[in-house]
Amino acid sequence: MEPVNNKSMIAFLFNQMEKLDSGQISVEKAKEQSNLAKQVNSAMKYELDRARVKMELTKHNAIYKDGLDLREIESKNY
Amino acid sequence: MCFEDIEQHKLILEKGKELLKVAFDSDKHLISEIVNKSKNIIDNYNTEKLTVADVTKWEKGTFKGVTKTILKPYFFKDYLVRYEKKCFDAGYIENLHNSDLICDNCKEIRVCESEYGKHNISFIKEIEELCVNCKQKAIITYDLYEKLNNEYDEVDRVFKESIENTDFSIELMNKYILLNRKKNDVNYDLEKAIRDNLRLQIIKEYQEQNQNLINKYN
Repeated sequence: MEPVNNKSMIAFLFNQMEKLDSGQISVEKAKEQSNLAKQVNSAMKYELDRARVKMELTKHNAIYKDGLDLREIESKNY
Repeated sequence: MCFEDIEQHKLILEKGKELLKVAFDSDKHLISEIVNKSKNIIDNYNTEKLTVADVTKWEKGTFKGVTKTILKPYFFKDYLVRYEKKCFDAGYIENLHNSDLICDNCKEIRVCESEYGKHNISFIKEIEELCVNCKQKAIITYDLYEKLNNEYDEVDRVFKESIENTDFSIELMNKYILLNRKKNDVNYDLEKAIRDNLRLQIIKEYQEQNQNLINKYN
């Protein structure tokens, strides 16, 4: 499987739009691919929310002299 | 096709459109052909490079508007909910006459007519006509409400300013505009997936550049 980043995914989706318009792929296939893209979007949303929580934690720790940390639930040691 | 060629085609497109306005009818066909040729080349370049070489002012403005629509609920929703709660606790001025803050003597019943018949609606009297207690309560409510309103306006102003000062990447803007140009009913799901992704990228770029502001209002 090829590594995918955001840029390549968008390029792929735009390509699919072209193919759909020209009739090279069916509407059903395009729908399935857009569903997969939605999953990737969810992962990106997770990253954004995580970054936001970390920002809020930094603020909280500075105000209350606390040491709260967001656990790395996906690290190998977990 | 290199970027310089595209610039030249843009120029041909621009001048061609101007020329079409003043050209003789017999020449219009020839000019249209040249303009269409350049237009097709630009369109192909846009599709191939996933960009928009000929962004219009209107499209740029639309993108700015979209960023505001996306970012405000995402970053300031919590603040807005808190603001609404504060207003509710303080007692909306519009609902003051319905609340227990004002005694019955200071309320005025007026008969209003509508297409459904006559109704009795209670209004609050002018502030000078209220009794001492009610006047004091009303003044406190008005002041609090005004203070909250000013706070809200201030957040709104700072937020709009921060968007104006955020440098969203040109690549991102071009992709958004390209998507708007390409949208049709057939590729709705694909379009929605791309739109969601671009939305998240807009949020990401804003978040990266305005961390302090977001922290302040959360």
